[in-house]
Amino acid sequence: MSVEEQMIVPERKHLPTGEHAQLAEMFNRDEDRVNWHDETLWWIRQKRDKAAWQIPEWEWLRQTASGIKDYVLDNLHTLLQQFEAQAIANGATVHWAADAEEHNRIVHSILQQQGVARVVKSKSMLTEECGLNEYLHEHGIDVTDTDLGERIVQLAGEAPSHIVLPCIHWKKEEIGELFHKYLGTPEGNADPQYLTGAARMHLREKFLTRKVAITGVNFAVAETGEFVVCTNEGNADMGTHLADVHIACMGIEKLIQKREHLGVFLRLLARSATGQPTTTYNSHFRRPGPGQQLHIVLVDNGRSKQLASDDFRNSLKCIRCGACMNTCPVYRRSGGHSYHYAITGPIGAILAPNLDMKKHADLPFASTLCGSCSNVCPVEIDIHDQLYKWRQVLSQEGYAPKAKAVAMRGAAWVLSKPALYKLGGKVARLVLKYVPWLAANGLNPWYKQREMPAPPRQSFGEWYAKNHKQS
Amino acid sequence: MSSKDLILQRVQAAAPKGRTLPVVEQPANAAAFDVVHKFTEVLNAIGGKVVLLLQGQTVAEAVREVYGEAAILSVSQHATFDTLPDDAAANPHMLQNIEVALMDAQFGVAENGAVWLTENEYKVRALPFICTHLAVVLKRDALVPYMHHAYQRVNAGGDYDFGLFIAGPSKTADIEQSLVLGAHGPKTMTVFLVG
Repeated sequence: MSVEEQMIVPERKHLPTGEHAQLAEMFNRDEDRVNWHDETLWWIRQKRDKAAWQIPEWEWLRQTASGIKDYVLDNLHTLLQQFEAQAIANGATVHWAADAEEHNRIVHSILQQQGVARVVKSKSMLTEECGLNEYLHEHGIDVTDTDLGERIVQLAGEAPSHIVLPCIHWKKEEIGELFHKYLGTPEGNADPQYLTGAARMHLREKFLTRKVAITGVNFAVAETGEFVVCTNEGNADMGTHLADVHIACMGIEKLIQKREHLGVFLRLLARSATGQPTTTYNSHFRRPGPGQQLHIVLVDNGRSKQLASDDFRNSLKCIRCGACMNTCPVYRRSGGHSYHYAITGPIGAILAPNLDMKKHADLPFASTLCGSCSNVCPVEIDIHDQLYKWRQVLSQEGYAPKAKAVAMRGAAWVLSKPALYKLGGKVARLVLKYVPWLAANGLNPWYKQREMPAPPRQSFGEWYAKNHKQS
Repeated sequence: MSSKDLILQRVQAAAPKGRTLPVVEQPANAAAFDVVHKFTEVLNAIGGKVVLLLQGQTVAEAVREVYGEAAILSVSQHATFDTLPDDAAANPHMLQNIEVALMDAQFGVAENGAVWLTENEYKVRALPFICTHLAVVLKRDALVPYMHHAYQRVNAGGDYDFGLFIAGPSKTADIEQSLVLGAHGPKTMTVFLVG
């Protein structure tokens, strides 16, 4: 028996449970690792800047991309039908899934028709959103994630922690240990070149033996019925071109109208993601290869609901570049898993509550609202405004974190009573001066990792009253 | 109601109306550059290589010089080497040990070092991915500056079942952001500029 056959890939551990702040606190216990994570992502953000600054018309690109997506969202009804008709004329089979469950069922039924129990899959955040891996695992299907980063987290029984850089939270020594265990590499070897070579051999065997390949979709063109898949590794192509059946899963918002619009989006995507001028492979799938089947699964799963919302519609323009994560001071210092959702970071914090407000009520609060995400977004999504709007919706619906809701009600009560506010301020200044431990203790989150300034002797109100009289 | 009807009904009810499609016309402040110089610079920077043919040198000679004694499979119109096996399209798995594959690009894009290829020219979809070294012949006058021009060329180039931009060798930086060339596909990519 080969090492290959002995290998048992662990079942995916469920996404961590708990609120973002708690999970972030766990991540922050290892200070060196947090600093490393922070610096790595900031380095990628800087590469993005360098790439963007080389293009004088960058802002025009962003505006145009945003405008094209606006048009798509306004005309999705027509464009979806146009895309379907073209894709069918091209020889593809088109499926429609109203939600994640239906999407998973459709994919599984295609595998059943093929009599296949082992598949390769390239990166698709949609299938992560739908929980396809877990679903197929429960139905006895072996899924091999073929993107190197995704394979690493899969072997570790984890979910990706970043949409573009799935194992950004893993150190090479840990990957060396993981590969020693599962791929039989020598113990203690942590050389990225060597480990990538081992993964190449390990995954090539999968490419050569699997009959069905699943991929995501970066862009789908309504006028031609083709779709584009972007990778650096070439794993989507190795999987699909060597398989009998290609299943492409896409959210309905991935559409664009014309092929020439790809020129705009492909200029933005890789530069925003990693600072590369383009991804290595931008593959345009129009018709199935000789003797092959091509299935396209169009998925709604909450998108039409988001489309109906004036406040949150813009989030559907996202092209999944990850720039908002790389720049986010909270993401960089809390790690992707603290978001307990498939799409992490600022954009994930807008998308997640749309699917389950109660479960993801904490995420829009995992932000400083500094606005950096909105500034780097290649399709000009007003991410930080939407985070702020979600906070209001969540508070109105009663889903705001309890401590915050109580504090806000208290603040509202005090602020509506000027005499009480003045008295409170006086008491607080005295407390901070004479009995500071009453405020500066472990029960008060404002004192975590902070030193507070010395309290002023008087309030602004008192200062103004005094100085105003003198003048 | 079918899921299709349900989704279509929902998006029709949800969508605002009336925003018009922007015209994609690159503004005048876009950088101008020499396309051969830019293409070479960018492709080198992303791990690829450009070979300019010497005066009087044939494509076959230039290719042989780069790859030495290695076996070369050619679907290029510009040089004859080993040919594609007859059943390669039906069984691309048989190409797994191909060392060098030589093929023709329709055109190249200076701003990002990419070349456009379609299955029409190179015959077997898997070929540029499964080979260990990818060699591409590109005419010097088939370089365009930007992706906007590239799609004008794609549209003018006629129908295809499968087409793609390739920019450099297959690569990954998933392990601690260390760049490694040759993730799943070719470990090198060399573009032979002719004409």
